[in-house]
Amino acid sequence: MLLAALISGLGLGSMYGLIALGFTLTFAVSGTVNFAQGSSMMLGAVTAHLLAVGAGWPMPVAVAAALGVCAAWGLVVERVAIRPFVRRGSNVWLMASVALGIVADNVSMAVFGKEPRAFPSAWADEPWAVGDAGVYPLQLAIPVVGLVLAAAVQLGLARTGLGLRLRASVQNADAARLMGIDVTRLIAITYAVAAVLAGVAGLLVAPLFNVAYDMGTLFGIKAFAVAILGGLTRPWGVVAAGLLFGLMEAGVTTWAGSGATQIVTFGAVIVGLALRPEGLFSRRVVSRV
Amino acid sequence: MRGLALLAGVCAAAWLLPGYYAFLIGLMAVACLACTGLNVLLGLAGEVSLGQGGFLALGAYGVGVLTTRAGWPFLLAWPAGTAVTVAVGALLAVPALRVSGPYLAMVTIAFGFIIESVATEWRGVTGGASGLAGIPGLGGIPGLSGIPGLGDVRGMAVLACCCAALGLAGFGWLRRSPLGLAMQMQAAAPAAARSVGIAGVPVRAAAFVLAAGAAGLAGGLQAGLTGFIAPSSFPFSQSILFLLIVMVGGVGHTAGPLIGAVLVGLLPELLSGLAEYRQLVFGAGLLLVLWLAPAGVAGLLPVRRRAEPASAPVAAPAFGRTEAELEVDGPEVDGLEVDGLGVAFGGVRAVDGVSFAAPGGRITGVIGPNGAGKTTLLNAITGYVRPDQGRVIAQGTVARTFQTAQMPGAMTVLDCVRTGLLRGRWRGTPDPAVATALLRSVGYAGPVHVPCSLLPHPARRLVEIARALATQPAVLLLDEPAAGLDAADTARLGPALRAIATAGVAVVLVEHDMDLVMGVCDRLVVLDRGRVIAEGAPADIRRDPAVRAAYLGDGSPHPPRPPAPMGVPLLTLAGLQAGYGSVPVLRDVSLEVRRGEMVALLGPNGAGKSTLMRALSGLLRPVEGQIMFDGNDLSTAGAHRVAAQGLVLVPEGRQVFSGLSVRDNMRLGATTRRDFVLAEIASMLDRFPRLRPLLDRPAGLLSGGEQQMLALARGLLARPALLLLDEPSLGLAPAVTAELFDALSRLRDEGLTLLLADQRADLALPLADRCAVLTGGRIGRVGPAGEMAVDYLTDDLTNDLGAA
Repeated sequence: MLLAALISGLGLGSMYGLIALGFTLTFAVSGTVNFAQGSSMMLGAVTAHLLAVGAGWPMPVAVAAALGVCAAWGLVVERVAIRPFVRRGSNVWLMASVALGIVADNVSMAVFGKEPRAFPSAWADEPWAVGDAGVYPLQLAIPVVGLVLAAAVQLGLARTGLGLRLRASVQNADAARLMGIDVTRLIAITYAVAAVLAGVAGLLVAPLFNVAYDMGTLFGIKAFAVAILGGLTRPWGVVAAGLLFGLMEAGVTTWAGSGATQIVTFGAVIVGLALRPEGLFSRRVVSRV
Repeated sequence: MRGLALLAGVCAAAWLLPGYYAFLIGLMAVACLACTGLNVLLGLAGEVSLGQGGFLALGAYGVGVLTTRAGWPFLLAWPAGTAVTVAVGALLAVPALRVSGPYLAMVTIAFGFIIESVATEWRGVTGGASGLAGIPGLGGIPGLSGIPGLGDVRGMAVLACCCAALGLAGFGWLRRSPLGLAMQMQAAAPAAARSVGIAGVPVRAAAFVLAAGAAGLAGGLQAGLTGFIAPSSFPFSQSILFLLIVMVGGVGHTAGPLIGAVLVGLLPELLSGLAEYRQLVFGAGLLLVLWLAPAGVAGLLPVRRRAEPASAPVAAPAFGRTEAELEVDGPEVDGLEVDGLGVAFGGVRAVDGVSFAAPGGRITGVIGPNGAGKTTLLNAITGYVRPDQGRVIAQGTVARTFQTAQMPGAMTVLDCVRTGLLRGRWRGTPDPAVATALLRSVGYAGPVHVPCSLLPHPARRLVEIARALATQPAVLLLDEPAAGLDAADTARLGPALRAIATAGVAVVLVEHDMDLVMGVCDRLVVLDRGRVIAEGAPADIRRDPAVRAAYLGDGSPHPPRPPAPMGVPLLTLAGLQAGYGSVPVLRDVSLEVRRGEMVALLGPNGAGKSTLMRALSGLLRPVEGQIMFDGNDLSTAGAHRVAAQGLVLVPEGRQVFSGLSVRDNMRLGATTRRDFVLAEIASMLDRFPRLRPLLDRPAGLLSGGEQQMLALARGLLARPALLLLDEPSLGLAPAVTAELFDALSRLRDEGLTLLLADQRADLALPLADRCAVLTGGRIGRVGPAGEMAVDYLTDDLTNDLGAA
């Protein structure tokens, strides 16, 4: 039971971490987040389902196409719901991205239907016996893929030219512009990357939780909680907060019943923020003025 | 009156129309009431909550549980449920108000989900997922049962409408009440709110609890109206819907929630034919409203302006004090005494052992070159930064103004000043006549019933001074009140300041405009690099050699160098105008820089040198006029495109990427180039040997001089066709400055085209081929640096210092 809870918790947690990583990227560069990030996740799963199960495309092609749709969606969100409002200096982008998410969810409902559908996967077919519980191979793969992706994002930030330009823009956007960096375009790129990360999360959990037009809502909210708890601007803090949140969720569900899950986890969010208003893993940055 | 008529009409409709319409009207009234509460939080206190649905559920369950389980009548259960909601709201405010913005939004989201889960799980009390049915409304109340219709949905609908109307009226009252004014000031200009004595946390907590209370009332009404509640009656989407209602209706407008609730309530009815696509239309419609009417529907309605008070002069009430008060404490006010004050940022001592006295009834000027620590000193005196040594003794309250006027945009000018009169109190009726008189006495002649956001820049300065005076301060600190003012406005400021001092206030004036400072101050304190370098009467300060050196350098210009051979024009400015919002800074700048020459741009602080540099580099947009560079018009190009063209700025204050290594900073300099090789970093290190051992250190840990060298190296790695330098000597020690200017001299000899803006004319002129003087946003004189050197140093700049 412990092992099953652990695996399930790590799986869920790394998914929250992936989606939250997207929040971190966009927030660091632009001070904004996509409140419709849950819809990005849903779009990944729904598109892959439509293409692979509906149209019979080979899975790798369907997955690639689904992630392409996610990237395009991220660009649309930034262009339509974020940029126009940031230009005006208003914080209405929050509501605008929520509105765009409502549109995306309902377009999906019209195309995909109201009923949740199973997403068959060879990796979630036959459970492996682990101790006294059954575990799907996919459940083991999810945290691995999640952490590998998080590491890849971190490495990309640290080692690539794009990552360097991104870090420069985060630190001092005006100075970055003076270096010839198109910060506006960078922000758009982070939105696309954030949507793709959420799309990956959607694809990974689809075989375990079914695919539905509204599957992203609660996931998106929990991922936002994770991002806030992790401190919003700290990639590793956010991933760690994701794992913590997932483990807590799985633990509470296993030992106290699913009814208590939301009460305990969201209660912990409130307490956590009250005690560490800047996030659990915040740290003061030392610099000369 | 129109409101009452509307209420009567709606109540009649609810009463007479078929029951379904009464139900619909009742639900809209419930939403209106809950959203009026949210409007207090969002519209007045400026905080987003996504937990309003949770409070609504609390109020509803209060009524549901008490009526069906305990058998209480509705009229008793309703206030009890609301009281519980208020208590929970106050409890949640404790953790919630430690955070704000997206963090607060998250706390409220979490709260909503917890309420939903508790309602589902606490089956013995809440009925679990199947909820509570048979909740009585106004029926069954002794004495009222005789009235037909009261017990059914119609009675509840009329009650809900009356409550919504009361809620709206209450909001209208609150908005102009002392507490409401404090909320708006706190939300829009927290620094200003603090300066007039408003305590932020209690004010925000009051908004939070009021919002919860309104939602609790509305929830009770909803329970009575529908007779049935379940967790599914209060989904998370309802909280989003409430936020949407407020935004569509108009955030902060009294009628906003009403308009929003009616639109959002009726829309699904009108769209019922679309069935499945309703939500889709909803989302798209919301997006459209947010694009087209950012202030909501109420924002589109014509504003009814109050009549302006008669322009006849009102007797100035001696700046908020009554004549009697002045008689008593006027002459005895000792003003301000600063004793050994010190502030350090990181390793830099921004203010270092500053002592001076500012007696009441006198104007004390604090001057000094850029970066001398003047604003930090002001912030330390007023407690905005914590000093690490020394003390501040003030007899009475200290008021201040800000370098950038801190204005609550949506508040009227009059209310802004009335907030000052309240000094943070939640009760009282600040007299509009006194506020108006204060405005007139500082020279503000404009309308008083317009929102502050509509004011031009000079007027904002005056309103801010009036607001500070309204707190009846013993000490008034002014941070560059003349910045951005034209000559006529500045001339009017002098007598106004004098009048304030005459009333007994100790006025401390931080200002760059030397005409104003020399003309109006009784005493001057001169700061340089955090220390007091001179103190005395203006006439003595003018002659003080230490002061001249601080502004001009040592004042012994080197012999000018022979001018470079004339090249073709590389950069041509024609009629350039630019500014910040309503503040014009560059009024008409025309200038030419030829290929291969070095032009020094001189001018006093505040003349617009940095603004010109920002406009040239593309950081400041839009600008009017033309920026022709190498045959291309760059006046609309963004900064990254300007840099890619080879017009590269080394900005004021270095602006290195402090968390990145010196190496990465240099690599970023070459962003626009495809032919960059790492070996170029090595050759940069030959040019700036100081940087060699620091290559892997975060740039933020470098000294100011090292950072300036890095910024220059970074700029050079872009292979600029023209390098713009903004105040490179700012805040640097003399030895480092000399090293830096040697590097610039070499670059000039190598044929790089340079435009250098610096306060230190003694350093800039010897290097330059030509020199341009910027004053008041216009290019005054242009000429060969050799001719200008002597001239400028002995003439213009000393004028700027105010010498006769």
